[in-house]
Amino acid sequence: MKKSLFREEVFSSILLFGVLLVATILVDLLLHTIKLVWIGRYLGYAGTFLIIASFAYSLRKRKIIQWGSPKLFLIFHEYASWIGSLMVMVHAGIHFNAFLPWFATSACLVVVASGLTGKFLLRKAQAFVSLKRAAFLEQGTSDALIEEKIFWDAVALDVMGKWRTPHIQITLVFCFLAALHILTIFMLWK
Amino acid sequence: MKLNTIAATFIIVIFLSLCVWGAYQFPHLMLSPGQLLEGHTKISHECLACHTFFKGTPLEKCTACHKLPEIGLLTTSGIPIEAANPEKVPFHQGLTVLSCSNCHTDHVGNKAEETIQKFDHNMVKESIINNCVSCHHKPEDRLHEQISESCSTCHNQIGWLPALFNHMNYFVFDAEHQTDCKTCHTNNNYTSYTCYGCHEHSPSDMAKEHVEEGIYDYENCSECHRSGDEDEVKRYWKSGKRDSLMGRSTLENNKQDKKHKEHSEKKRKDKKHRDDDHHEDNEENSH
Repeated sequence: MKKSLFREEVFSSILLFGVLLVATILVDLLLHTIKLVWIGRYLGYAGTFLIIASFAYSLRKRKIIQWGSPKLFLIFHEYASWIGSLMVMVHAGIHFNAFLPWFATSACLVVVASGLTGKFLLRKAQAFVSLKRAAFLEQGTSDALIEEKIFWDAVALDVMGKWRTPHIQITLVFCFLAALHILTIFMLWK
Repeated sequence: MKLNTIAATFIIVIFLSLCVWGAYQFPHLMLSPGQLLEGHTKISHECLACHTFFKGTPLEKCTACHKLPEIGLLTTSGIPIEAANPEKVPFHQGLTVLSCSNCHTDHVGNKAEETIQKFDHNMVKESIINNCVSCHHKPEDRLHEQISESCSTCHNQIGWLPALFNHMNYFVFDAEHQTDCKTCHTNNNYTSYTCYGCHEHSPSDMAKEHVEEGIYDYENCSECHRSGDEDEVKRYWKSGKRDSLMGRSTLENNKQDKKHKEHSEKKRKDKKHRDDDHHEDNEENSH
C-alpha cells in the first residue's frame, strides 16, 4: 500500500513538478536555438493571464460563480495554472538579473509544488478514509465504532485539509510579487 | 492554529513590505534587468536619470548628456571622438526621427554592440542612406574591392545577408576558375561577362568547338557551362534545361537534338569516307 501510494501519488506529484522544470529548460533552449527569445517576454503575459483565469475555480468554489461543474473548474485550474506556470518560468528563463522577478518566480514554483501536493496527497487521503469507512460499513460496524476506528485518519485528513490555507497564502504572495514585478516593468518600461 | 496563521500572515506581510522597500531603495538590485553599458555604470543606481515613470526613456533624458550636435563628434566629457575612435562616423545629426530607444537599449551587459537594435535606415536622410560607406565599411575582399556600383545592387537595408546575388547560381568558382572578377566582368560591369578574357578561350576556338557539335547559339557560355566540369555541361545539355531556360518547347528541343545527332552522324560518315579514300590512295600508291 505504501509502495503504491508513493508510486501513484507522491511520484506523480514529483514527476509533474520535474516535467515543469524540464519543459521550461527545453522550451527556453528551443527559443534560444531558433533565435526567438523575444517570445519569452510575451509568454509572461500569456502565463499571467492563464494563471489569473485558473482562479475561476476559487470563485466557483466560493459560489461567486454559480454555474458549471466544480470538477471541470478544478481540472481547468490544474491545467491552466500548470501551463501558465510553465510560460512564466520560460519568461523568467535562466537569467538572473534582479531579485524581485526571481522572488516572484520562486513563489510561482512553490505555488505549483503546493498545488501538486494538494492535488495528489489530499485526494488520496480523502479516498483512503472513504474506502476505510465503506469497508467498516460493509462489515456491519456501527457508525459510532466507525468514527472511533477512523478517528486518527479523520484527524490527519482534517490537518491535510488545512493545506488550503498555506496554499492560498503562498498564492497571494506570488500574486503580490508578480503584480509588483509587472508594475515596476510598466513604471520603468524601456 | 489561528495563531500560526496570524504569525504566517505577519511574516508574509513583512517580507512583501521589504520587497517594496527594497525595490524603492535598491532598484539596481531588485529591478534592474541587467548591467548597464560601461559608460553608464556611474548612474546604475539612478533609474530616473534615464527613465520617467510610465513614460519610458524620453529623448530629453538622453540628450541631457548626449547633445545631438555633438554625438559622434565629442564624448559627453567633450573629448573629440575622432581622436578617440577615428572609425566612428557622425550621422546622428542627419536623423529624421529622433528616438534613441529605437536603436539603443541598455541593461544587457557591457558589450556595446548588443545594445544596438535593428537599425531602421528610414530614420536617416536620403543623402546618408544612399551613401552607405559614410557609415559602413566597404568589405575588403576581392569581390567588393573591385565594385564601384551602389551597394543596393546586391544588398538591401534590412540586412547585409541574404544578398540578392549568389554567383554559384550562375557560375561555380571551381579550381580552374579562381580568378579576379575583372577577368570575366570587364569595365567593372557585373551585368555582363566574357569568357574570352582567359587565354584558353578565344572566339575562333569556341566557334570551332561548338559548330562542330552543331551548336550555333553559344555566346552565352554560362547558360550551359555552369562550372569547368565538362561532364556537367553534357548532362545539362541532355537534360534539356538549357532549352527550357531559353523558352524552347520540348518539340523544338527534340528537333535540336535530332539536328545535332544528324550533324554528328554526317560528320562521322564524312570522316569514315575520308579515311576510306585515304586508305584506297595508300593502297594504289603501294601497287
